[in-house]
Amino acid sequence: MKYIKILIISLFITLITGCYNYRELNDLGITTAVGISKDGDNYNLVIEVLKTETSSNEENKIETILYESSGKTIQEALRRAILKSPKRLYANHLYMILIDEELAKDGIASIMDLFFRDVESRKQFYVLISKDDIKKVLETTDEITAKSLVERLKVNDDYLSNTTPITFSKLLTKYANPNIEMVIPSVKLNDKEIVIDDTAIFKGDKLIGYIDEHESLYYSLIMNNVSDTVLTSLYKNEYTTIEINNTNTSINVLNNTFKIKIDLSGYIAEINSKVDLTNPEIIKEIEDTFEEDLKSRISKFIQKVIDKYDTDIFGFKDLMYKKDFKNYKDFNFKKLNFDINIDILLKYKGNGVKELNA
Amino acid sequence: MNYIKRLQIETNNLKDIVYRKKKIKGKIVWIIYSDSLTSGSSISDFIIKSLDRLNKITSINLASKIKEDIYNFKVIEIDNYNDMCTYLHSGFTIILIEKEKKLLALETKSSNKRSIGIPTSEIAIRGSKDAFTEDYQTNIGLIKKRIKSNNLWIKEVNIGKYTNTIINIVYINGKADISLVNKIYDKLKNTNIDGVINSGTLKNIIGESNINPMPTIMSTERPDRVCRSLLRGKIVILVDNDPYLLILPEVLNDFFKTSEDYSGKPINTSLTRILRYLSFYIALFTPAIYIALITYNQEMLPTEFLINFAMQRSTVPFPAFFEAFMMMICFELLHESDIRSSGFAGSSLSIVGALILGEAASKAGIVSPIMIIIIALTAIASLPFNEYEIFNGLRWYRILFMIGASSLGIIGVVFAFIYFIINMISTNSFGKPYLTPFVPTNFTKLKDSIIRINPRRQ
Repeated sequence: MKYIKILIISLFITLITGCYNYRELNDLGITTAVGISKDGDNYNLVIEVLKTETSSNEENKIETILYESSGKTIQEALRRAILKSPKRLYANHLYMILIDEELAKDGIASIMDLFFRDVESRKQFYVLISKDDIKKVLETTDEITAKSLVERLKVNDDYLSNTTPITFSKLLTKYANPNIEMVIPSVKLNDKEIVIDDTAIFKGDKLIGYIDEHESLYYSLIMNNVSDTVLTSLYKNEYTTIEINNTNTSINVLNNTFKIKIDLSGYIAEINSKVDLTNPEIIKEIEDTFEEDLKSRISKFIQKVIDKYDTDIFGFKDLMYKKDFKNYKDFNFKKLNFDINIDILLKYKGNGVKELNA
Repeated sequence: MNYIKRLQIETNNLKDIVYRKKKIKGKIVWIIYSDSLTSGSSISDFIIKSLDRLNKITSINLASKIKEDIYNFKVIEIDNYNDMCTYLHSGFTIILIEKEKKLLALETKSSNKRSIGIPTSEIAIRGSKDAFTEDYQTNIGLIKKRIKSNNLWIKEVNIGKYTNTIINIVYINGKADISLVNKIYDKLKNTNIDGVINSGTLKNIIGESNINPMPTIMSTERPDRVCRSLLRGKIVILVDNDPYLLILPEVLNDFFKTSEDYSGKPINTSLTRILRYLSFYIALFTPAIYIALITYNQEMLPTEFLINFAMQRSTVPFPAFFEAFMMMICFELLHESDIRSSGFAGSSLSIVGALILGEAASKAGIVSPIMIIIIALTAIASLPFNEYEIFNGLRWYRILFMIGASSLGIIGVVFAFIYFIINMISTNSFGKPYLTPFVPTNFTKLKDSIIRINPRRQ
């Protein structure tokens, strides 16, 4: 009798599945991107939602719908967007948020706060700055704009590292840390095509400038974020490219001087001057050339950030806090002493022993 | 004599029982036998002829003379009416001499039994090809052929008010747990039941009652499996007229072993065993986890999957749980009809089955293609077990997991799993913990569990 009771109760449970957190997949509007801009007092939102209804004649082609809404706060605008959508907006699988450049210049504190406290989203989405009108950016393709953009960012990060893609959760740790500033990649429209553009650098929650793709690479090198990249430099007045597939950067503080040590290893990819690659002296020479060149470029870049923007995107102050707390209080980014030491090791010359046109 | 009258009254003058009167030395001798169970030629050849020969000899004690002189090899002296009836219904011929107290039972069984066939429900590619038959003596012969020892002991008990079925408890003296043998013997002996038609009936008599649907007794038709179990100290119960023998006590791990496991290299066997364990859990969890992910915990799916599932489900009007249940029932129906219908309906069943559990159903917008794959995966994974009861037990737990998933999502699955584990651990298989080589851990037995280690290296 006891078991019959349990059976009846469990059968009832199946009938009342309207309870805790139940949502059928059909009722979800899977949101892939949220674009936020500000027009005067109003926040304008552009929300990219997947169109999951398939018609039988065009199978497996995913389209997206854009919903626009505005409100005095972001949350209010989000609520208004729900009125336009037949499905409940579901942000757990958000790919990215796009922040308008102008809004970023005014400060993104409210956005950070909103998404930080939001219980539903996964915080693994990417954050991007849009230099052009967000709606136009999201309208360019029929496909999921957010997905293709994020995938491009990831591929770039893996093979070139001249952007600095960052997820919201990582951005949040930088935002919450007063000793390190945020760096967010930006996108712009180039003849109806979205391109990943310069990288925006922040001071506090405000965008204050951009660094170009080379500088982004140097930034990533300093931050030890590079896995694969290519470096091009002049060797004997001819452009030469080396491919880097192993990097390691360590920064130490010694007598208020930051010792940045960058170890790179890779191989010669393209060489245009006629030299004998079998000669170890030549290889050493190429290594030295690249080391010198990279060192001067990185120092110039750091100096530029110090002089022009005065924003500690590298987290030197944070490093000071961790490694040399005695001098932490006296830390002045403007008067930063640094010393760069670059070691390039070219392991391979490729398949051929001698290049063909020697 | 009143025995004959009594028998005639009790059997309501059954035509099958033949009473033949013969006069030897002035004494009336009755030859009684059941026509359908005995072989007529052996009665006339051995019994009637020898009785005729006795006419020439003078003797005071006719019964003992017959016993000495008769050609028949199995002669049993009986002295009461009940024994007479038992032997008569077992195919013996009864010789009754009027005015003498003794009765003689002579075996004249006709051979209305099947020859030894090949196993049909437990197929092994490499392994012996003989299977048990309905005749219990043939079955004991098949065991004795493999175990030639004085220590192969058999306890016999007859149960069933009407069937009077012979039940043998077979075990190896010195290996099996004697107290368990006695316990089962006592249990069987004290059973008051109308009849035992197959060995499955005994499962309910000797089995301990618990709410775990998983089996603790294995039924098998393979003599090699029975003998291997006997050598491990298990007890085998053999029921006359049933080709399936019962092996007990069995724990969960035993159901993952097949007789073929021991004819291959241990390293290959291990991989097969891992696959079987994997399929056990696939069969348990797949529909439940799918339901949980689709209706509650969408954030746990990779985004690509979510988009894919959302598109597939967009035309389905039912909730995921209902959809899964519907397809589960479809599969169970198909499985059941496939077993019950013999041969002739098989091909039409498979065609119709492919429509229900196939592309047509998803084209019609009733189910999503992914659901068909989920159900198909579950169905495949729940079948690679010899013991059919495992399939049935799995079905119970699968429903439980699905209910958990549809009411609380992944947390519900976890709750159901806790219930499952508690149930399994607390189950007792005739005094043995059900998850025995794992919990409580027995390292020597673990060497023949999920993985099999070469016995030479132990």
